[in-house]
Amino acid sequence: MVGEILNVFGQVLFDPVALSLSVLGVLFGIILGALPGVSSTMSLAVLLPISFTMSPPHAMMFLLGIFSASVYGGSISAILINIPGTPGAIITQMDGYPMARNGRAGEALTYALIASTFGGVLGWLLLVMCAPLVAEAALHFQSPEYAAVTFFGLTMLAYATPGSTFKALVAGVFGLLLATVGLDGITDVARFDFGSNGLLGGISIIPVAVGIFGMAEILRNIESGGQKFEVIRRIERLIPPWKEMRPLWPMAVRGSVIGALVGAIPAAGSAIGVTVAYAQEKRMSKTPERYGTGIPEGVVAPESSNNACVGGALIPMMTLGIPGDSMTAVLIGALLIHGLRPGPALFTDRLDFVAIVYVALLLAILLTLFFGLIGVRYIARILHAPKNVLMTCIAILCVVGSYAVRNSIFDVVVMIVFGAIGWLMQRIQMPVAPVVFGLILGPLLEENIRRAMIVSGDWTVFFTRPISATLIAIAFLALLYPALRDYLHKRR
Amino acid sequence: MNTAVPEVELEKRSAAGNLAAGFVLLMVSLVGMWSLSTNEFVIGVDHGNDPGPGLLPALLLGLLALSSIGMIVVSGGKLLRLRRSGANTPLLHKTGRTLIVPALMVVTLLLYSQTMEWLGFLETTAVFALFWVIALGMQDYGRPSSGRLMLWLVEGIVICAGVYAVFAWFIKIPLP
Repeated sequence: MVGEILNVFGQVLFDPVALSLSVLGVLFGIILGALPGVSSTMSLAVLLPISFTMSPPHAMMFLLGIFSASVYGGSISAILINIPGTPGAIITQMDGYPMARNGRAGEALTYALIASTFGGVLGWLLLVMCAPLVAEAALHFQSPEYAAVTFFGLTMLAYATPGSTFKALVAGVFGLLLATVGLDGITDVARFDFGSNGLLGGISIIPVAVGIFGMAEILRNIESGGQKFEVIRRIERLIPPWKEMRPLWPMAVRGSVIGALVGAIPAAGSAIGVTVAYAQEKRMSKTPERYGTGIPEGVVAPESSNNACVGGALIPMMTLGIPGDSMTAVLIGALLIHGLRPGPALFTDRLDFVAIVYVALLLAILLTLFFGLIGVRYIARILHAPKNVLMTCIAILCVVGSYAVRNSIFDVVVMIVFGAIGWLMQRIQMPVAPVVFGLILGPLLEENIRRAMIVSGDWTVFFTRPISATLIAIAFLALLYPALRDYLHKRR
Repeated sequence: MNTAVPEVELEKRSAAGNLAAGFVLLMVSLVGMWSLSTNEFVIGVDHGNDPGPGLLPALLLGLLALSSIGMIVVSGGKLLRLRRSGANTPLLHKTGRTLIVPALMVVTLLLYSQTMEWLGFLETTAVFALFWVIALGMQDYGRPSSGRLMLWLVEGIVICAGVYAVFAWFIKIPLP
């Protein structure tokens, strides 16, 4: 594998198209991630259609550039305007913005950048070391195990999603139901087509993802106008003193490890990783009361965790085909469009592609560091971009991007409908990511349940095979735990 | 003037939203069940050991129906309780105002998509872009000066041309 990675790295360095796409992806990622109201998932979903005509390796260069860089980009607006550009930057703003108000905006941005790079590299190392091991284990999985892993991924998403677990489950069930629209994969029977040719072809993942993650955010942003942000404009000293940076390395390591491990749990997402990392450092600190007042520790811990999650989230995505978070859910859509099915077979049949993913991610991390260091003052100016232009441009990109999937107006209508649905779901605090997860995992779940039944002819096969039984048990425990905890708490 | 929304108003809006969602999901599950029950290739066909194409949809529709009934009962009960406690704040028209612009966006997007193939991408996109750059600009800045209006017109045209250039020329995706 190391030889393959070095070989691909050498090829990429001499491929100007690949390098340019990686640079473009990183720049788009930083800029869009920095803009308030444009999340990293939205950036990826809206720009994904641009990759349709690229070859799979070039598409990965571009998309992983966006993926990795937008996670760092969210910290720029968190620090300069107290609004996180991405969910993972929610914790960064707690100390990043006070640092900026205290005249240390440049240092806060640099701490965020260096911590992001550190976390990104550690997450990358975990991906390279662990993914082959997980893939090797997954090669021995049969249909019951795949069905159980899919069920586990969906329930973990419901458990891990902030807010109501019940609403997340309902959204997940809705997503699974959407996946059954169209022709059944095993018997070719048409389901829920209502006489429509568009529905007969099934509901494509990309228009739903663009609608739910892109259009819904636009609708939310334009609900009320007159939003003005106070932007910290003075960015003075960029490089913090070495004496102050040196003691922060162990913190960056701990944050990165937490982020990478949490990211590797299917559906957990970076928001959990950064929260755990920040809480851990605060607990270990001799002066926990200083957290939240504008200290570098409060930026380093969450940012290293945030970016380590990227590598971690790619593990379940590449080895099992299960999204690690909403961004990898969109990436799975991209892989499917390019005719690649994520899963353990990638590690046996397409090791070259796996190496490309590794190289693309590492290059994106290094390019983010480079452009972050040289361009942070200029990138910060983008926060002044007029909202009317930005929202209109993104709305049109959503339309064109959805059309580009199959040159079909039906997909555009699907995108608009799911944009409206996603917006309304957010208004009632119903999580939207489970809908996309359900749509992606639905075919896997159904196919493997039915295949397991066809082979064994017995329902108990899911509960008698050890891995399958364990995963199902953990999933049920995760679902019942909140209710059980509340019940025991009330009894006391 | 205190513009903060009282907590009881927020609770009422939340319960009303959940109630509406419950009804919508119940309708979806009933329509789905009707579709499944009238599909002769799904119901009543023996597929051997294969549970068939009807199992998972039926299971999911059942779960959805039960969940939606639960949502209706819980949020309906909450609304009744709030009303009995004297919390009679007018929520509809206040909520309605914030829905107008997004609803208009959805309607214009549907019009835009339906006319794109008939009138052409550039023409429909230009109209859409100009309308929304100006509308959202007025939402944020109020009535514009002639200079600002001219700037918005230019920005709308640039967006249209830029997107066309990227998708049709650079990426070579055939647009209507």
